[in-house]
Amino acid sequence: MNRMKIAKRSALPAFGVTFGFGFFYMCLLILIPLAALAAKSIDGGYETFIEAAFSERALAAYKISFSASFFAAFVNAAFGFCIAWVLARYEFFGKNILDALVDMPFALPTAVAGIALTTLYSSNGLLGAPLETMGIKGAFSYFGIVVALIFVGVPFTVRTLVPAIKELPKEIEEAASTLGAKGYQVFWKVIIPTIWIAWLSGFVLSFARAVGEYGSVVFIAGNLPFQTEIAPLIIVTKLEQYEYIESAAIAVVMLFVSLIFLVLTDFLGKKLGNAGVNR
Amino acid sequence: MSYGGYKETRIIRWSIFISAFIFIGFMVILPLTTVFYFALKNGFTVYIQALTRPESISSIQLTLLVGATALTLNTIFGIAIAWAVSKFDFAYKRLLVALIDLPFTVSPVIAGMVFILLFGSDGFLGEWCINHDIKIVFSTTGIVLATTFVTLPFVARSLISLMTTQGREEEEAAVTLGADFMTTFWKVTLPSVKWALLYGMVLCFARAIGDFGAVSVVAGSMKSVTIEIFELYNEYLSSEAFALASVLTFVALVALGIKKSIEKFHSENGGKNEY
Amino acid sequence: MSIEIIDVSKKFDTYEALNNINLSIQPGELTALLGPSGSGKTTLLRIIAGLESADTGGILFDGIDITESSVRSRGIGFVFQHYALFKHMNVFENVAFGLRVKPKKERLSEGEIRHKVEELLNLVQLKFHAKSYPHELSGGQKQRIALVRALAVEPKVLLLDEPFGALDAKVRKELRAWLRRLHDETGVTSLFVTHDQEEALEVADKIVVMNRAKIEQEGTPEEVYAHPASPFVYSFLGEVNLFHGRHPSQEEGVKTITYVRPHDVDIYTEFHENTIPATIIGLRVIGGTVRVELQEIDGHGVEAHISSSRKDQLGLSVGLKCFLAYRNQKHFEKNEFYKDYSI
Repeated sequence: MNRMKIAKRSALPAFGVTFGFGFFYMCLLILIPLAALAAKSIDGGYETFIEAAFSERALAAYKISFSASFFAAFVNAAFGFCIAWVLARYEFFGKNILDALVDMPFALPTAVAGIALTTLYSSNGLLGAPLETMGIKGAFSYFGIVVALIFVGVPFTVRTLVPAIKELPKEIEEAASTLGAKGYQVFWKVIIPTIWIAWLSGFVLSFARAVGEYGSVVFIAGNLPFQTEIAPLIIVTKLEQYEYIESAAIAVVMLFVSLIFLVLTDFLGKKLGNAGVNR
Repeated sequence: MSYGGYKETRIIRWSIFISAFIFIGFMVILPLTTVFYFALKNGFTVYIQALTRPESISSIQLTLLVGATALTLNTIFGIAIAWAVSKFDFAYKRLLVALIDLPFTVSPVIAGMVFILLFGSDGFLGEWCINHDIKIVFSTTGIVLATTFVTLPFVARSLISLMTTQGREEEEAAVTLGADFMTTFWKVTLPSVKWALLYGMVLCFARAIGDFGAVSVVAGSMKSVTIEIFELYNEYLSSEAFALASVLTFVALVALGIKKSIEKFHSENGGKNEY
Repeated sequence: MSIEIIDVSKKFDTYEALNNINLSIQPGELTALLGPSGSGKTTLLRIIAGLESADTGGILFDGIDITESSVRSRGIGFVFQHYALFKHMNVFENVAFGLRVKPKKERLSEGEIRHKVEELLNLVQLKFHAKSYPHELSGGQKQRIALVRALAVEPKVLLLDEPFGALDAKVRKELRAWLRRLHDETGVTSLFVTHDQEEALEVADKIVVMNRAKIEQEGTPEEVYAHPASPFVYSFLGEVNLFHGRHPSQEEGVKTITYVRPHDVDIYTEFHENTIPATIIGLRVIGGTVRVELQEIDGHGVEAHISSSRKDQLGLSVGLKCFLAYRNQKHFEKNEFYKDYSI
């Protein structure tokens, strides 16, 4: 019973083998590879790392990645709220279809989304042509990057908000109106403060997803350094040029950002979980 | 519905509805339609020809092989880790569970490159691989590794969230009645989590066959369906690209249909599984 | 303020919640709407509040028809069973909410709001919890906050929906007494819904007993307890012994049921006029009262409640033969019984 020491009091069998296998698997697939990445990034010394990770081209790419992701997450938060509200509060014809369509970007391969969006938004495309007459370049531009990132982030706000809106107890809205609150006051003073953590966590999730996105953006972005080159693309470009250390350095920066998002979403998720406990 | 709760005015309600539908229309329905429109634009014969090109067929074969392997590996892993996490208490459990989610937040590009850094000719184990005549990068193995990395969380997540809420009592009852691990798992645990398991597996497979970022880094000259689409599109062979894309879209729609019906009829998941 | 409810009916799909209800409530009264679940009492309360609309009929406040008025404009205070506190606001902000959402010209200054909320929190002895959030409070504390939150806007009517239903027995008893005191101090017309007859009897000036979408009886607690208008009211308001076909002037073909409260059963150790022989088969001492289980000579079971000093005086013990006399018997026709008896 020696190997059972890690686990505390449980009468159930097979902790050792399941935990052992799972842990070994994760080490093999996640921990060792990521450790290799970290090791590679500082292979050329600290200064090389800083130089590669924060070169002008890399900085420009971070800026594009983060700002475009932010805009996309923002747009998704706004429209996601509308969709979530409609799904949570109303019964209407086609509700199931709308509900399924929201999840489409989860299921659709990003490469497919990429070619579809590029075709739509290119200068002779269905949406690109009218945009061009308005002076906006749809595909192969910053605008295109934002469009692709909006696409991949559609489900997040909706999926975090729908349960939050559904779980709003009817009585608190009733209580507010018996206390004399008007409709807009109920909305801003009672409903929004109750669901804003869910809203925020949807925003963070779609932001995090957008920052790492590659497949759909690479088609639509144009990929010009300093203009339409996102951070994941530099990683690939450097890798193809066998500049492993530079590539790894940028990847480490992105990985660090991912970890921050992971902690943040975990924290928000915990707050969300607690919020439901006390009514 | 009573009118005691909050109700927006008619104008606001309509604005919300219209915004929701226009947004989904432009962002989701239009791209989906585009795929099928361009795939079938030159007629059905051209469409079939595009799909039956030897390159198309070999890319589909590779993708199916990779998808099936990643699915099998991650299902075994998911079941094992879910059992350990949900039925036992141990130190740093929260950290372990958070780590399982890591592949979701890591860019798929990074998922691919780490294996080049490990097993590439210049990598930490590169020399060892060459000496032992093992080819990982730019081979099916590399593609499988990268895809497995990207899709690692799906089954585990789906199972952990359900098995944790289900507690341990039933399994403990089975053990006190003399059942061993395999019996307990097959006869007690699995029947109550089978839909969650299927749910995770569907998402895992859908994501596995659709991956582009991770695979494109490690594939080299090998071509998965998504890479084939990428190359065809860049060569301006858009109807061939869209023909292949329509196949993936179809699979995605089927996966989504399965996902939705599981959510609807088996609310074990509570509809709370995202990603 | 007086409340007049005229011909109110309400259906939910096919389910009849209220059937032609007429009721008037005098200013300053504390009224209990008492009934089993599904009797329509909560629906009636919510219609008065404006949280639900009646299918037919109307509501008058002080003689003015407010049937079509919005919840906001009715000037009511409503207390929910599960408190419905705003969990993102602390106690102070919860109580201040109603004052803060008033239109600008009616709104008190920040200083006045502060003063008023503090006064109210003093009233419920929770001023040290002003900065606490709802999840840090006990159930009793939450309900007291919910109550003063409703009182803060100085409602003309206070409506309480099972206000103590979610609390445990001891807290419930404390809050009952507190609600009675609070009502005596504020004098606001109050209406509360409950399914607990003890609560209604203890707290209310007037009890309205409801069953199956209708009002069975209304009156003071003494009236409804001592003179129940129907078998339903009789059995819903306390324990009873039932006897079939014991009516003294029983007509041919009419079956009757006789009700006797356990504390209206007298026990004698010797034969008296009009007594029935019985045997004691169980004795249970609960504080100052003794529950005596008896069996009449024909096998019919009877329960009697007597004081423990009386028990000692009579020297009762299990197996003892004795004689029973029934006071305050109430007779109902049997078909009436079957028609209405349902809890």
